[in-house]
Amino acid sequence: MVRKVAIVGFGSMDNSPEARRKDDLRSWRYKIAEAGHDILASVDKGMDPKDIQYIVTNYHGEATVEGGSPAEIVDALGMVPTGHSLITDQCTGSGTSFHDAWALVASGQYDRVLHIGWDSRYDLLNRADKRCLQSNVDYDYHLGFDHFHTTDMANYFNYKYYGKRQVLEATLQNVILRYWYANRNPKAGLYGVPCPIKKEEMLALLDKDEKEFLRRLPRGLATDGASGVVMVPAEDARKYTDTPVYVEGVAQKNTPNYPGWPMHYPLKEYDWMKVTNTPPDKFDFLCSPALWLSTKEAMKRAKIEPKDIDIAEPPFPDIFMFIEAMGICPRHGAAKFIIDGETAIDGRLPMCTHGGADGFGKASGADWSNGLVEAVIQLRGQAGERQAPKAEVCICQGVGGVGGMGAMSATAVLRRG
Amino acid sequence: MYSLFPEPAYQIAVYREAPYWRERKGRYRLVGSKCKNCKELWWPPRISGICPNCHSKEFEEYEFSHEGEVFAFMQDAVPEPLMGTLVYGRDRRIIAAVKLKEGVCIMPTELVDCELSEVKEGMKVQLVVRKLRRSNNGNWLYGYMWTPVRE
Repeated sequence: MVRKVAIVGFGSMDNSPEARRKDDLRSWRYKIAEAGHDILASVDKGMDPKDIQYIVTNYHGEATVEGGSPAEIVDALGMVPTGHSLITDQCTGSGTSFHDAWALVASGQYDRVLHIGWDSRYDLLNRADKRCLQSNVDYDYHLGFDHFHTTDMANYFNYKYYGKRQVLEATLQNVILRYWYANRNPKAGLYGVPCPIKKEEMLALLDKDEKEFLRRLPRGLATDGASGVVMVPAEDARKYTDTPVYVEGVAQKNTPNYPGWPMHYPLKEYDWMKVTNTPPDKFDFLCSPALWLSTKEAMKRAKIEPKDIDIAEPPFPDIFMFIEAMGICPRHGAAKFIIDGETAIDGRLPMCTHGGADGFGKASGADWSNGLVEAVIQLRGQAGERQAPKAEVCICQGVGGVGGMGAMSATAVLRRG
Repeated sequence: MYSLFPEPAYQIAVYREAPYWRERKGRYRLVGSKCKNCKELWWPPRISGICPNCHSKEFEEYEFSHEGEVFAFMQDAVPEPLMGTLVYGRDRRIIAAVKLKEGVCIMPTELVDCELSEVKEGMKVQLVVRKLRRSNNGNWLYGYMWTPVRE
């Protein structure tokens, strides 16, 4: 018997430009503790750290922290001797840790579980590890390819199937929206930073000088990150808050992490083309079956249709599969969906409303949980100027790794209480 | 960098020598795995020793075709590759996906001895093994790359 689970507290470290100026002065321990404090402080009717029965956290997976981190994290949070699991699952890690934290409450094992996704770009034992292709390293990284090359590969296939012009226009629209949303989120890394480009000027530039267009396109922002929620059984939710958010469906899926696997991985149990609703001649690196599988499973568990989804909180709007896997637009239709303004606040599907990973701060291990926290804020109606007009159901998605543009994926469907 | 060698020998984010030695057949001769039970071919080799299809642990080596077709290609846009390939004059590499007749796709991999303007999808290419970089003890490491089939 699975118990229904509610989120009663949420929070994150401060990612604002002012806070980031002090980044080097603060250890990763401080940032996790800041998120933990923020989460517990947000519980309207109060929750003592001693009430937390178990903690699940995650980071990206490379040599970010010293050995013995699980105990270090509990100590940093001031919650010794509470039980704790530390997970690594690359950029979807905080989705995977959310899945496990949810399962601990849903199963009846614990009644109050703290979940935090976090990552550090500053306190690294080995910064080079972050650029590892993060897949089958023997056959990519050690042949001279690192994580940045995935962008080259993704661009090639994106241009092929969506058309270069459409991809670049959608990218432009995403950048404009990134600044629009981030400037309405005081915790976002780009808060208070004016958008350095104008849409009309850039479109005109795209017609005559593509190289200059690409040069002027602002890049995303990389930061540290720590954010998460506290979960309780739904029947206890009103003890802690009058505005709980319910977890309706959660799923996590994995596929191989070798970038070339979609072209040859003869696992007979799955028809990968059908999974991703893709014609055989267009099934390749870009397709990300793990994302489709986790999205479909989470939606099925939540008993929702695409029409029920009001808001989406994936880390990146540029990965078109996020929208397509929900079934909100046809396969290879996401670029047009974005260009048409449907992911803006007044569009069909407001998306990445915290600024997205590029506007809030790309923190890998905290990407998914940053979206989760934004989903909770939106569903509670507390998003202020960036509040989506309709906020009943929100979907949180993520991908990690590079095998097929995302080898692992976690998805959750949340509903307003 | 050692005084004996002009090339950088990377000490960070690289394995010791044992894994390079262990995987040499794959990286030099495209040796993957064939499941003895269900006969499926696997690339990269099933290092874990379990077939995802039938869960058999019985494998034999299978040397994949050394010729293939360009499935996709792109200009390397990464200004400074981490692994030091820059020092061999390949700072603007052509990254590619090469499809072999067995259906396996080698990706990412590198096209050499040709210009980007010459490359087309479907172009026939053949395997070459080239110097990649120095290992952290100074030994040369080699890796597979692809060159156009010359008539």
